[in-house]
Amino acid sequence: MSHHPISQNRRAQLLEIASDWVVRIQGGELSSNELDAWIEWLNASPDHRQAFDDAQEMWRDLGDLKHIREPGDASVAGDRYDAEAPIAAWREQQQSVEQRRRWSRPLAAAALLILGAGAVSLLQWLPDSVSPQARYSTVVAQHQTVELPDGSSVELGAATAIDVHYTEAERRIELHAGIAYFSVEHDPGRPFVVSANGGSVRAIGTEFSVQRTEEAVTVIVTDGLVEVHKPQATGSMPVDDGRQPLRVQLPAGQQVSYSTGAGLQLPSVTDVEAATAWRDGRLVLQGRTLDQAIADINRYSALPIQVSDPEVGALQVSGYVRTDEIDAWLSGLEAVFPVRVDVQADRVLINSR
Amino acid sequence: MSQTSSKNKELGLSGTELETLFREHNEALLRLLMARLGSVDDAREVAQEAYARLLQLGQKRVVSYERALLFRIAQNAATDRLRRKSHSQPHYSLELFERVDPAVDTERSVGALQKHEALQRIVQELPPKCWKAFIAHRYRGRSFAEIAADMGVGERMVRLYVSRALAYCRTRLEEELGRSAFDEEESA
Repeated sequence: MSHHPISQNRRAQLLEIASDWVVRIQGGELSSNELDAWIEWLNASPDHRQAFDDAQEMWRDLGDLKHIREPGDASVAGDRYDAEAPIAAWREQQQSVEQRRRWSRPLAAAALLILGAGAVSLLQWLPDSVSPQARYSTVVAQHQTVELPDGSSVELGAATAIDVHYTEAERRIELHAGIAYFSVEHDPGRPFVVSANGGSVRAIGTEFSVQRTEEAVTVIVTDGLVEVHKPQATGSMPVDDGRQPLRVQLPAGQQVSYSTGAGLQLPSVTDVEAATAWRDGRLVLQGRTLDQAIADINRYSALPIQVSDPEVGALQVSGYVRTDEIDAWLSGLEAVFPVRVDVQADRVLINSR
Repeated sequence: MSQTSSKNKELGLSGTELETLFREHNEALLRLLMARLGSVDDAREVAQEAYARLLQLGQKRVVSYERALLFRIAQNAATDRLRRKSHSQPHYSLELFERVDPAVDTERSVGALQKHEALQRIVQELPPKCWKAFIAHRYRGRSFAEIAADMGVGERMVRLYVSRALAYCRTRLEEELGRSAFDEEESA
């Protein structure tokens, strides 16, 4: 078993490497170069050995399958998978393409504000005095994991943009929009800081997510401890006005929000699993109004969804929505609430009925 | 070939050296043989055979890079064993997999059954080319080269189809059942 928990992403990466080794080994004798490389990889970490053993167990279990159904020639011929990326990543991409095709409408202008496909873009609309080393962004309905130079990683949710500024003294990420989940390598001499809308989150070795919406920035800690700093008016020194703390320390399982208007709120206990379910393609809606839910869902919907009536927007929703099945969720709304869902050329309107 | 060292010239590989080799590399050697042979017992037997052969060799010849030699001997022995097995056992036929054996099913624990059912579902999510290559290799015992010729792609691509499929199945299974399900099973 692992000596420490590793992130789901890291685990998935290790399983890709481990599976490649298992398949090579069972396929025939390894050359001495391959053998050296394999032993070196295996000895590097208990996580590697665990992944290898698990991949090998899977190879054995798959041998026990009954009811093998051969894929048809047509589906094989039509398959565009090139094996260059893991299957999960490919499927995710296919599903978002599929979803867009189903809407069969051009993307809304709002969605185009964020350039995508993981490209390092040179957008001018982001106000930034220091030019970043790298800029990463995702479009609507796209996720992307970025491996940072120090071994830390960032998982970007949909419609998200970050800048990476790494120096000798500090690892700084600016979150411009959307939501990101950070897995931080421990390095006490070089703090890891995420800044968003004037405030900042300081971590040493930990995992947490930061979401930036129009109204507020919300920080959720899944592992370790972070320090959240209150937003400052640009250029001014931090002033303790005695009413609000300048910063709070946030342990795992808690969340805190801040905004330029309301300052730093009090931390509260949160359902970490629900709050990070977006990483697995689910948005948990429990305890939210329809307006709040739609704001989040819009990061995954090719057509922007709008609620026309404030009374409808204030309805309490529950359950969750799969980000690849938004249309199904929308049609379900009509059955649960007194609303009508109207799909138009450039948007989806939710009206009262 | 291995280089000579004057110290070992007369002595060959000693028992102590073999012990060191065993201590440092036995775990990896067993992993390799397990993955190759698919059985713990076969892996243990072949490993023992390899140590024995290495000792014999050591008396005649100088061995300076023992690890490489140990693994080479073991891989050769594994190949021999697989060759003998393939003569005595016919390859799987597809009918074997379409058959449901209730006796086997009742022996499975609830956890194993749950895992099996999840896997039946998960393999249907694989890209058709991956699944086709996987069936040909895993269940019909066809080599990467044969499948490559059949599908009109390179051998490396076939190997990738198979290994991506393997990684995907494990990752998805952990998602569905949770990692804790596996930990419990392993410690039980």
